[in-house]
Amino acid sequence: MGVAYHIKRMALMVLLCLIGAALTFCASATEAMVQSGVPVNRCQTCHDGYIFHIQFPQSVHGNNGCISCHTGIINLGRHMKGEEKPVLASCGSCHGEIASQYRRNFHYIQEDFRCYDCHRDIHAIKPVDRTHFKRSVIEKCTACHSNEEYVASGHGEAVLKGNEDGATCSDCHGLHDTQVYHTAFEKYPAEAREFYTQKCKRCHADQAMMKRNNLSADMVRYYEETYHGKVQNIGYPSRVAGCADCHTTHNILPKSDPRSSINPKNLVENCGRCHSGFHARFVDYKAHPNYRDRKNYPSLFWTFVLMSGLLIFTFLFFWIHTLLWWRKTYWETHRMEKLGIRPECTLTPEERLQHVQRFSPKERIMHVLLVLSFFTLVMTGFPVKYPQAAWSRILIDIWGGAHMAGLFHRTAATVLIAIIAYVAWLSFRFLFPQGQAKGWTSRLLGPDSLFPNLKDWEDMKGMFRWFFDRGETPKFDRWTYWEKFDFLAVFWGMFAIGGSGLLLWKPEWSSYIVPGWVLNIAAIVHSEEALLAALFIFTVHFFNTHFIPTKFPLDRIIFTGSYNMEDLQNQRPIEYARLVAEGRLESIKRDHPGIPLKLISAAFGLSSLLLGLLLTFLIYWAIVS
Amino acid sequence: MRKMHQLRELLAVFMMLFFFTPVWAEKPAWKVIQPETLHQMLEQNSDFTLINTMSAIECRDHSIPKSLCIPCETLDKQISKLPNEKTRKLIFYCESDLCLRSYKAAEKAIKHGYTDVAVLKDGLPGWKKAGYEVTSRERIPRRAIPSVKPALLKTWMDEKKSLFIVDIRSEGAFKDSHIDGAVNIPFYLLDTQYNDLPLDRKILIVDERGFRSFLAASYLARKGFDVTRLVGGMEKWQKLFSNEKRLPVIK
Repeated sequence: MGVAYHIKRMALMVLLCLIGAALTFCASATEAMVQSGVPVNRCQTCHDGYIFHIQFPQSVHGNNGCISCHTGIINLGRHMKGEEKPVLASCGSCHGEIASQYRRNFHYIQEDFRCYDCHRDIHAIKPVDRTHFKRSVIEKCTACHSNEEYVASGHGEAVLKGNEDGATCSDCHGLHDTQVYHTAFEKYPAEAREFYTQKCKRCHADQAMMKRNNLSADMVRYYEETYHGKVQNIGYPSRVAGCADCHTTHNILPKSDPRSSINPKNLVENCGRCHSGFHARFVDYKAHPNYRDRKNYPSLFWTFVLMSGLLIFTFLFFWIHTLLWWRKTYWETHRMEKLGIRPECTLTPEERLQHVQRFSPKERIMHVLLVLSFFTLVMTGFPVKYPQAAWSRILIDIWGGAHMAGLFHRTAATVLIAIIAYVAWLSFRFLFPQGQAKGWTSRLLGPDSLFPNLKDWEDMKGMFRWFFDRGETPKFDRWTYWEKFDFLAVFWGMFAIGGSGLLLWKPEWSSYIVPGWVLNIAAIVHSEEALLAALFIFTVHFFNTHFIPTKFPLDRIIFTGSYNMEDLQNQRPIEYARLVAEGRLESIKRDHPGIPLKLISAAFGLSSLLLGLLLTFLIYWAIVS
Repeated sequence: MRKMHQLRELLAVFMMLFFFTPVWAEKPAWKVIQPETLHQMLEQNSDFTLINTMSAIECRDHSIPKSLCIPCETLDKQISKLPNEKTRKLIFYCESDLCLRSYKAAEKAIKHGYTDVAVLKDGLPGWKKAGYEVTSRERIPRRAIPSVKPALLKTWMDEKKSLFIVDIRSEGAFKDSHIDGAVNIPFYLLDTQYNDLPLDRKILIVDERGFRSFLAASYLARKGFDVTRLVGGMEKWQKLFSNEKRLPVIK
């Protein structure tokens, strides 16, 4: 019993000892935890300077204890002996968002700056004074970055005079996220240009802010309408001027100031930073003109009005013409189908199937080249015309970027110009065969000519009568009036679009021929004429030649070169009669085209038509949005 | 005829060699290592040696954890600091994303027989951009060091302003070209030679690209010198002169 009692007592003792030990351990741990909450006044017994004693409690962090920033002191005794040092203060544990921005900051990446290297008065820091915020930014930055140019600039002057709209350092460079490429010595020119141009635009496109400061908020829009702005917007800023390239960075001054980069006296040097080998009048180019402003830019205004008028008139006429034509043909085909009428034909069945040549192999090849170059021009040019459109970046990337697209554009333009030059030579040979001038007027106005004559006027009137069921279809000769228009439209269009394109190809060289402002006109003409050409081909030409119900979906004659005699007699009765009368019919008889040629023609022709329709859709989309 | 054929074959082989040789020759003997890989290796305590090739001042100020400090210029002398076994992995890095100093150091290490040598891609900036921490053994408090742009320095020099120009680039770079009247104290020697500098004159620090002069200036400012630095270093200074030549003639 006694033994049992002793054992029980021993067990209780051991248990009590264990509990005691555990309690002692807990107590010491609790003591350490208490130590970690060292009150401010304990720190100030040693750190008793003015800054800690007086300024810190009044600062914005005054309600925080010392150890909320200076963590890592577990044992005050050890700290006082110098055995325990606090870890580096981490502001990011409270200011997380700023800290994550700051990790991209150039000062951190390159020079390992920490928060307190700029916020030096960290123990006395006061709440941000919003009324003089911009000024205080300048003071902070200029402690290291002396910048006399900025102080003398329009922005600097405004901020120092108390205008909080003026751009301070951080408005362009960022406050806590100063970008790495900004001082990286032109290592990232494209990123830097896009970044800073966006920064300029942010304020200068702000209507209310610009109005307050007597500036125009539309400058950004006008810039975006120029070549520089368009190529920048399409995502290839490395080769075009952004805002700062002309206006410089820190010493931005009004035009009237002789130190300003855009002062007329400095323009040659200013443009010369990117362009070289130009005549001094090159600088007459307007970098962001408002072509709707009749008073200040009359030449641009009237060019725009003229081009718009041309577009509206051409499309109004031809779209109505096409619509009426389609209506009449559809109704007529329907009527004939219903009544089972077949067109009259005086030919024997054999003659009807006999193929005759309309286009020579040379002409067919030219048309294929024309199609290819035209599509290349449209697909490389229109993304630049509509840089904001959702599809333009995709399209330009398919070409391999703006620069490559430009090369394709110029190559295609050269092909097109060569075709036109060849056609001009053929026309010359047609009018003056073997150098004979005699009788050129009768050839010019004759039935084989593509030049309009009185008969075309009569034909057109006849067509309109036919549209309204007021007469028969006019009897056409070799070329109808709309075919002549197609041909001549390309011709005079080439002078406008090709001429302006050549001027813009090498604007520096052009300045030896024309002053810089003509390039502004050339840009409008080139752009509007391109719209006219593309839409005309993809709507009017496509409908008149291919989509009209009698030929739908494709008239492959331009690729195969021949059609049967029945078509010749129906579509061009006067030509047929002429060929019979002159006995030339025999010489143009051809074999029926083979299957490979037909297949290739259909594939090329139909894919071109589909591509054209897709591009029309994209253009409308861009115009509407 | 047969001989001609053989000759042509030989010529073809020779031409192929001609085309391929430069590819072998240009390929550096060191590897390039990504910050992510290095971070992983540090986490896993892999067996390798990490070397900061900057000056001791810079290396102590901030570097990647567990780095050895061996300035690129003194690597040959301090080769004993590197581990003895030549197959051990060495990773070099420096302060700039151009990594020129790490390349130089890597080349030297290979000459000394090390076989597994790598260079950290984009150096310390690349490490930080990837979001990894640096440690600091002896941080130099940053000062508000005023800076001088090349154009202003040129005006000062034209005005014969009293200025003591200290070029902290390596001896070789200094020999190639330097600003008139500059004195060369390479950064890796600054902590032993700063006491030769005058306390009564304004000191201008010049470096390669303007990235290192700030820390050197902060170091000297703490020692009581009146110090300023050249923005953009020698690169911008030389550009100033090449730009002046490039300006188009006004017609």
